[in-house]
Amino acid sequence: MDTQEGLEVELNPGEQSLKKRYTVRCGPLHAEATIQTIGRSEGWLSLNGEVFAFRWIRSNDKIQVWLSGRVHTFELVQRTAQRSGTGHGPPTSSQLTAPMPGTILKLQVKKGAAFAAHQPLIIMESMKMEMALSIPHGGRIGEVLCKPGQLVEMGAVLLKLESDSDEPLPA
Amino acid sequence: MFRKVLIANRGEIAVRIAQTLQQIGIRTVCVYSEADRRSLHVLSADDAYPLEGNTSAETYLRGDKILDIALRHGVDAIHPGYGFLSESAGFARACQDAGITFIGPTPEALRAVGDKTTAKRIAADAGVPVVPGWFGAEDGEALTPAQAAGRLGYPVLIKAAAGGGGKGMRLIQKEPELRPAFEAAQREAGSAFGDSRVFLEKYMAQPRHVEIQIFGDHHGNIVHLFERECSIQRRHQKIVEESPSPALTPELRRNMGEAAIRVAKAVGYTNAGTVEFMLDENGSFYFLEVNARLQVEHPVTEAVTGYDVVAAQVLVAAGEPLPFRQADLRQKGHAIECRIYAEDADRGFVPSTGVIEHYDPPSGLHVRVDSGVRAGSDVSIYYDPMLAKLIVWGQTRPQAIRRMSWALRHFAVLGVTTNIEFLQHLMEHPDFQRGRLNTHFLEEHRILAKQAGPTPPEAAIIAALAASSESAAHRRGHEGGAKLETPNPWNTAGAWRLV
Repeated sequence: MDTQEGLEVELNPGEQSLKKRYTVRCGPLHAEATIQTIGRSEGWLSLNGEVFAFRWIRSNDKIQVWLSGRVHTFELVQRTAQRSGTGHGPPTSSQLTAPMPGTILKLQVKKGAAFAAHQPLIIMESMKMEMALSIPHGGRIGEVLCKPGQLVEMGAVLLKLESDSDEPLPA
Repeated sequence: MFRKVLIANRGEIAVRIAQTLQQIGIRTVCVYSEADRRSLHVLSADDAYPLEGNTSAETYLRGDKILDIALRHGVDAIHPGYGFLSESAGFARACQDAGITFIGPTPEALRAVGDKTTAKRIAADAGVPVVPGWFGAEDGEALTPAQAAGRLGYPVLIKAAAGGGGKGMRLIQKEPELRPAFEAAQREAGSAFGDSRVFLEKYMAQPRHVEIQIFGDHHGNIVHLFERECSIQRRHQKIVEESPSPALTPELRRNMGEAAIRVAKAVGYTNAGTVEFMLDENGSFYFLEVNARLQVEHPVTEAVTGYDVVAAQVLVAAGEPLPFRQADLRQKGHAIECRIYAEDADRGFVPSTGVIEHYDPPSGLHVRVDSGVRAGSDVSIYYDPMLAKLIVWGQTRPQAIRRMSWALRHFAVLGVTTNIEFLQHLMEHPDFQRGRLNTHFLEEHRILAKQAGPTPPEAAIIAALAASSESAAHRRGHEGGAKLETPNPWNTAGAWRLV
């Protein structure tokens, strides 16, 4: 996936009728566009002689756009800046959360156990398929916050890791 | 002919069955779990009755609750769809005892072929070659799974005895993997089918999955409606199916069709079914199993033969002879089906849940979409993540592929993540286009989930429009604008979240 720096987009309204005209500035692009919407979140965009059918949805700070058969996801920068406190490069985590709703089946580790990168830590079940949850780096389990048989929501904190210590960790 | 039929299923197949029943003039009844109360299949039927609960075990697998509803509302027959109770000999028998016709095979046939180990024995006795396997204590010698696997030779496959769809299935390359995988497979099988028995099978290299549609009636007629190739699979779940198979010669087709009919005759099979084979690179075929039900991918057979398979099921169940004889059946043109799943192909195909906000399937000449959802549908964790099936027909395979590519590009879904872009890239892959398929295709070829490259400006413009249409702020003469960022992949890598 391409990681771009933010795209600045300016939409300047021009003459208004059923089709809304805009002057658009986006990256190196500076063009005239016409947008015709049906309902609130679908319509057609005419840009540089090409017509694109589009649909969009928004949830909190994320916008998703369907266009030309592809889905593009955008995050609004101001919210993202508030949320992330980390710098660049491979991050380390302080906890393991459920990637989707489901049921905890088996715990492969307990409090205080050391684990390696990609080692299966928890087995959970969702949509009738089993999956093993792991972390891309090694560490030590601080607290176990779930148990077998428990139904969890997406984002539920399942494990807390011990914070960085002087002890060498498995690779 | 039946006056009222209950569909003991949900999602796209319940919608599709209701359509045919209504076209025949039969009143349709459906059942629904709490999570499904506003779903499309409920809207599609004439009458709908609730099943308390949400999980399959509490609802669609409760033959007793379903039969109770059927009896209370004067239902003549039950169509079980696929999965759930469709291959339950116990449920078929219970329907029979209650005086309600089960639209499918007899309990005896279900019992005979439902157990995969018995089915292989029947096939072998009918002179059909089978894939070598080990079925536990039934095989005579008291071998442990590890000993049996050693004898078959790695790699081996662990499979559930009581059902399919990839559940309870594991591939084992070496001995140390066997024990934990065996236990996991037993758990998965127990949860999906209520029967945790599993068996071992020798894993064939480079095989193609080719299956034959069979149909029998209660007048002694048994025919086959040719083959479907289902080699594009992920973790033994089919994703793309087509008919005809690019690998079959007319002679191979004739031999496999005749072999399938021999198996069907050996168990006195009636109604619709599928005989699955593995085809190796030398053109030798081996019996795998019988799926004693209507299958997910039946639309490709409908497209190339021109017959409504569900209508034929209803006729046969009502005691009519099959509406076609072998001599009437022809394959015309080429059909391909893509299964649209609510999965994030970019993140290991993790299921995606949520409310569908936009749902606009493609339509046009020779483009068919069997949907189980609509805009506003809630895709939950309780059931299979398949949203719809997209089927196209073309005069030739290349034309069908072009039509499928077009259809996938015109299928707009927002609110859950789907595998649509993954399927687009699959259709473009040269080996897929050449028909060079085998069941390891997706492991051998890295199919991109999302197109690489920078975000096109037209998408960013719409995102800005979306951002400004929701915000109350106006700045000077600007209608709107926004600073947008495509998400950093390090934020959500694998099955854990950064906090």
